[in-house]
Amino acid sequence: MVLRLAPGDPVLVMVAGAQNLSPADLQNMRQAYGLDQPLPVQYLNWLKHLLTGDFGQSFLYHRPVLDMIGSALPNTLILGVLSLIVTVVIGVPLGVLAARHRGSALDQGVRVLGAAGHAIPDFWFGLLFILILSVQFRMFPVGGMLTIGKDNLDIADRLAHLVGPVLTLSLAGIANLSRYARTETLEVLGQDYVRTARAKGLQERLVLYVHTLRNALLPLVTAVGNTIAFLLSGAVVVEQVFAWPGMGRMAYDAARSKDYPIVMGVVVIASTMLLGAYIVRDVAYGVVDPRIRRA
Amino acid sequence: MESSIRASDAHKLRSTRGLWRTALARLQRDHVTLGAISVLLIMVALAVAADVLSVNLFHYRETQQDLLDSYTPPTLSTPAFWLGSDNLGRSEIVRLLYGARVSLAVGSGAALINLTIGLALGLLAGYSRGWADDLVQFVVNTLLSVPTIPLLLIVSVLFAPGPVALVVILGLVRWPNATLFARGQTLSLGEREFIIAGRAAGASTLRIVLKHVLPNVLPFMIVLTAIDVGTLILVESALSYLGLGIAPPTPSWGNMLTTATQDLSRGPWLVWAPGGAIFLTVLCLYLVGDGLRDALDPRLSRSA
Repeated sequence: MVLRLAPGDPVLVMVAGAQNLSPADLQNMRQAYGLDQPLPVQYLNWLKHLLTGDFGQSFLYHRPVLDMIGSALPNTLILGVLSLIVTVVIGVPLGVLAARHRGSALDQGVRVLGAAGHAIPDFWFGLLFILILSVQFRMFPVGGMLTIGKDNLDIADRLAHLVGPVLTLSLAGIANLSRYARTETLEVLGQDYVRTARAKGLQERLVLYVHTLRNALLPLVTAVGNTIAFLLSGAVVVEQVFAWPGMGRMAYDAARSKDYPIVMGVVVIASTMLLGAYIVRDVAYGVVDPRIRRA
Repeated sequence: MESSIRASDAHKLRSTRGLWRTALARLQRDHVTLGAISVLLIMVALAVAADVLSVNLFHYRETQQDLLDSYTPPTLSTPAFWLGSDNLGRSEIVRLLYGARVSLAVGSGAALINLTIGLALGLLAGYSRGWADDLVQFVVNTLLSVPTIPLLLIVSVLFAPGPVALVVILGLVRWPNATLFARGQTLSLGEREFIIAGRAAGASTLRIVLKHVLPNVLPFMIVLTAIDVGTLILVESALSYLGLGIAPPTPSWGNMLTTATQDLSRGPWLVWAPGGAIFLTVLCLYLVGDGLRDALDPRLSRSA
């Protein structure tokens, strides 16, 4: 199951071949960077170096790509990990509660949130956040990671800078996950063994938390794994909106200035992270659901 | 033998026709979905009528500038400035109408490509199984392991696409989901009695796939497509917002928001209209998809 997901790199192969097709790039940097060689040769060279852990140098900054990614990646990870936590901590309970109180105002609210959270463009939500809370009410900083001139270790300042990006990045995931959690919980609540649990006089609380949730939350492991793909894509946009100095923003800037080694490096790292997340997801599923292991 | 084939065919025909008819009946009682459909129809009508409206009602073209009127707040007195004007004094409402054209066209065009590729490969993989299935699954899983936006980032920068190229690119990047879905549906249909009966009766593979499998997969693919159009509009607007999709001066909801960010404090109204338009469109498409699915398969109902 894990191996099926492994061939992530052939795509990078195609992308890498295609990316050097840009005529502008060929003209500008052909000679200096060995770009006058045929594309397959260039690609193979790039791949050969990649295999030895050498991501090449930035065209623009003349710094090793790996160094640059190394300095931007932690910022993206902070954002991503916090968003993932917020997504799960808010999304799952919302979905379970909605299923528990089916048809109630809360249930309706979660459904509206599910639809709205799916439909709202993340960058627009970020812009509204900045417009309303930062520009008009001046409650939060408009962007960046910390206020210039402030102490590096000013935790409150750092947290204030995190609120907007994390909320924006989590929104779609919360909508998605709460919807999913609701469906799964409802599914399990309709099972015979839940009826049995109720029939033997168990408290509703125990029925929900002991008998239902353990089974309902199994498929959620998959959903959480998929959320990571979401976050990796969303990071590019959100980092741009909030001027967050992360990997997504770096890739974007590099892409605009045709600094291909950086773009390629970021895509390789991001895909590797995604594959890693998928592997963890599949392994975790096997751990929480022993039936899967035999398959 | 002869009669049993006909019976199974007739049964299937009846069930498809019945499927659509009952679905329609259910839809008529679903006010949310009907409302969403109406909103979408109005939007399409406005987008189609953009030329007529801008000339006759607003007296303003979509790229027409008037620097003296830059950052005019929304006002009822001049139709062209109902939604205010942007940094170059362009009419926000006229640009919104033309932006609707771009978003709706790009979204539905790319979704159509998704649907076509997804359906073709999904049917092939799901029905034939074997090496064709392995190959399709391999490509699908490979593509799915690269995060979408970074991938599009590269492609967009490379090709600096116009609207048509953007449709093709979005279509080509996002088909794996549709393929997986069609494959899953086909796979489960392949074990059903009427398919096995058809095979036993000696019907050709092509006939079975086109006449028996396709009609049963199609309704659900249409539902998927409705939601997909919305997702694609989101992706297109995000790319355009980043300056990698539809390039100015052609207005798109995404690049109108880029304009809005140039000075948030001078033109806050510029943030509301394009984003609201994206939100409303995607929301309606999502509700329609949801409603159609409920109507087609009540077991999956939202309230069930």
